[in-house]
Amino acid sequence: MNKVLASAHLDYVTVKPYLIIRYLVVNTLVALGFVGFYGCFATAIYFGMMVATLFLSYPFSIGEKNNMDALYVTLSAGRKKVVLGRYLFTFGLNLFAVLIIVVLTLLYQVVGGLLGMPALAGEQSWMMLSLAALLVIIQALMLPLYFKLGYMRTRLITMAKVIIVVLAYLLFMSHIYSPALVQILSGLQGMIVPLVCVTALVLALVVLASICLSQHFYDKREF
Amino acid sequence: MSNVLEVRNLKKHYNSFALHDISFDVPRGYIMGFIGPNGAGKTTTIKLILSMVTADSGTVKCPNNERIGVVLDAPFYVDEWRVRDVEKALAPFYAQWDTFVYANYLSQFGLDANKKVKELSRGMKIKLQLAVALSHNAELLVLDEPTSGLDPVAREEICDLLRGFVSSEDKSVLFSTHITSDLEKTADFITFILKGNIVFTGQTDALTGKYARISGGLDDLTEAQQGLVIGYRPYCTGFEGMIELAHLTKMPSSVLVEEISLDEIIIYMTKEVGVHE
Repeated sequence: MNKVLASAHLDYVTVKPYLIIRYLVVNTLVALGFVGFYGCFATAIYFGMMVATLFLSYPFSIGEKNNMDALYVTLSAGRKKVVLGRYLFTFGLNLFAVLIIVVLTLLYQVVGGLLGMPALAGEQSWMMLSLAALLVIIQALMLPLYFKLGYMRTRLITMAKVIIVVLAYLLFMSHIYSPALVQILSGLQGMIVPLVCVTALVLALVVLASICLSQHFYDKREF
Repeated sequence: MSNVLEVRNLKKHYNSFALHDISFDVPRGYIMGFIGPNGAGKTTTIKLILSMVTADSGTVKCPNNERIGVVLDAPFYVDEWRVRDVEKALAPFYAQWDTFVYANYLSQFGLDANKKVKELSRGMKIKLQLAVALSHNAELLVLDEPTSGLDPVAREEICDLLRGFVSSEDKSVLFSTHITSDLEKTADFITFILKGNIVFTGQTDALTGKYARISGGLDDLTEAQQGLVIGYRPYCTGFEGMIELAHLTKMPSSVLVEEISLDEIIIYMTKEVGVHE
């Protein structure tokens, strides 16, 4: 098996005993509750990614508790591939969360339709998807810190960082109805495809920079 | 004789401890015991060899990680893993992983594949690490204090296993321990580290054959002769210590000279360093 895949697989096997079914079920129900409450499919995607972001710290916390960094270094993968494996695992985690939510939301639509419930509205989708993009950025900021400082030392910094980023976002959103911003946004509405492309490019660059930083930090760590 | 591991002039400085110019070789096909008291630098040296820490200077020439089996003092598997999960997690990293060999070792060690790692005793955890280390056709085993805290039967079992491992001539072992009785039966070569310095590296017999235990009355030795005794320790009725055989001719015939064990060599050497600090 490719060493990056093997590293991602190791992360999965590491986290697996802690993925308790009832925890997943509770999170799924909460996600569906969000969908029902907001009537917005993208809310569930955001929620799924938020849960994935929480799970993202698991390989670090479990690894630290069980002295696994020593194991990673002695494996034949090399530190850079261990880092790439962790990013692949994170990507898989996000994808898995989104897929579960998509499937459940579709089920919700079908069952809801049969039961005569109102269809989900789509007007909040862009806001929620932008929040999901924000989560990707938060993850990209979190990972290098985990690789540099380890789980325990990063936990507090990360909490502070998440609060700051979310507050900054809320501050931004609170000004969304300012005339200038509304004018800009309505101008952008006609350019959805370029906008999505630019956002995807920016996210890709942020993730790439995050990978490089993580590899640099992890190379210097001593265990 | 070719070497499977060559360590040259390794240096590592910490605030409270430093390794100075560590150099030694592990010959292919042999067991090298790496001895020294607690805090001498054994684990740091092993971490440098395994690239867990970065050396300030020096070089390590060894096979790539795929051909090194590692057993550490502190086990590094997830507590919640079952024994069978260990294989699932680690086998993909090794092109030469042999499921049959792993299953055989589990059975030989009495390890239940369904048991969780956290349910294993320390001895069993070490055996689990050994089963992994021996299942991917490693040519070098690096073991850091694998026998500490184990009962004599478990220690003997591990020593037997290592002897079996090097019976194939291209396999070698670097075995760090402070329980020297394990090495007296097992190790062909010894590297002795003390306070971050290599005191001796060579054949085990050459180390035990280089020194002798010496004891006698308080008045037996002159001050100059006392200076030749390593770890000189006076009692109310006499003295004891260790001496290099080369200096034996300078000692009076009244003293008692006996064979010395590895343990005693470590003790006297450590005392000597303590005396001179």
